[in-house]
Amino acid sequence: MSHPDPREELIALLPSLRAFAMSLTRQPAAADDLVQDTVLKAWSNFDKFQTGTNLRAWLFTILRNTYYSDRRKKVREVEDGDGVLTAQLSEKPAHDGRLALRDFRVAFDQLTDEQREALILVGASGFSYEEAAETCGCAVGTIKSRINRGRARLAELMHLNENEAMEMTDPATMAVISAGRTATA
Amino acid sequence: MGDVLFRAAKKILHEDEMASSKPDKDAVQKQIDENLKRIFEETANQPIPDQLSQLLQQLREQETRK
Repeated sequence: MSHPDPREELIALLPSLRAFAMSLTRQPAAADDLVQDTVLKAWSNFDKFQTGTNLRAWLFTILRNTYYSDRRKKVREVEDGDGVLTAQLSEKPAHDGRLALRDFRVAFDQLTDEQREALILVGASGFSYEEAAETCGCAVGTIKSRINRGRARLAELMHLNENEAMEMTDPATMAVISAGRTATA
Repeated sequence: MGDVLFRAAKKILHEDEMASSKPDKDAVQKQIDENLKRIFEETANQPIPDQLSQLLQQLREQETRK
C-alpha cells in the first residue's frame, strides 16, 4: 500500500487540528467540540477523500467550514468562560523589548476570524499560501492581504508600529538620554 | 545644555530609526511569527483529551465491525 490509511493519518494530525480549532474559538471547550465534530464529519466522508491528496488541508477545511457554519447559525454569545474578553493589554511593550506572550494573545484575540486563521495557517502551521487559500476557499491574494492586515493590526495593538517606536520609552533610548543628562549635570 | 543634548540624542535616534526602518519591520514580523508559533504549539503539544481518544476508539471499533 503506497499511501497510509487516512484514518491513521488523522490521529497524527489531531494535535494541529486542536491548535487550529483553538485559534478560531479561543475557548478550550469550544475547540474540543469543534474537533470532535470535525472528526465525525471526516470519518463519515472518508470515501470522498481522494487518497494521495492533502489530508491536512482537507481536515482543516472541514474544521473551518464547521466553525463558520456554527457561527452563522447562532448569534455569537458573548461568553467569557476563560477570561479572554476581560484580559487587557499592558500599557507598554515588555521591558526586554520582546513581546509578552500574554499581551500577544490578547491582541491576537482582537483580530477577525479570517485574519487569525490566515496567520495561524501560514505563520504557525507551515501551510503555503496556496494551501491556505485552498483550505479557506479563497484566492491566494486574499490570504496574503489578510495576513498583512493581521500583522499590521497586531503591531498596532502591541505598540510596535513605527510611530510608537519613536516614543522615548524603550530602555535603550532611556539609557542614552539619562547618560546624556548625567554627563552635563 | 541638557535640553540641547536631549534634542541631539532625539535627532540621532530619529535618524537611526529612519535608516533602520526596514530591518525593524522584519524584526516585528519575526516576533509576530514566533508568537504565532508559540500559541499554536501550546495547544498542539498538549495530550489529546480522553473524550476525543474515546470517540476515535469507538469509530475504529465500528469500522472493524463493518
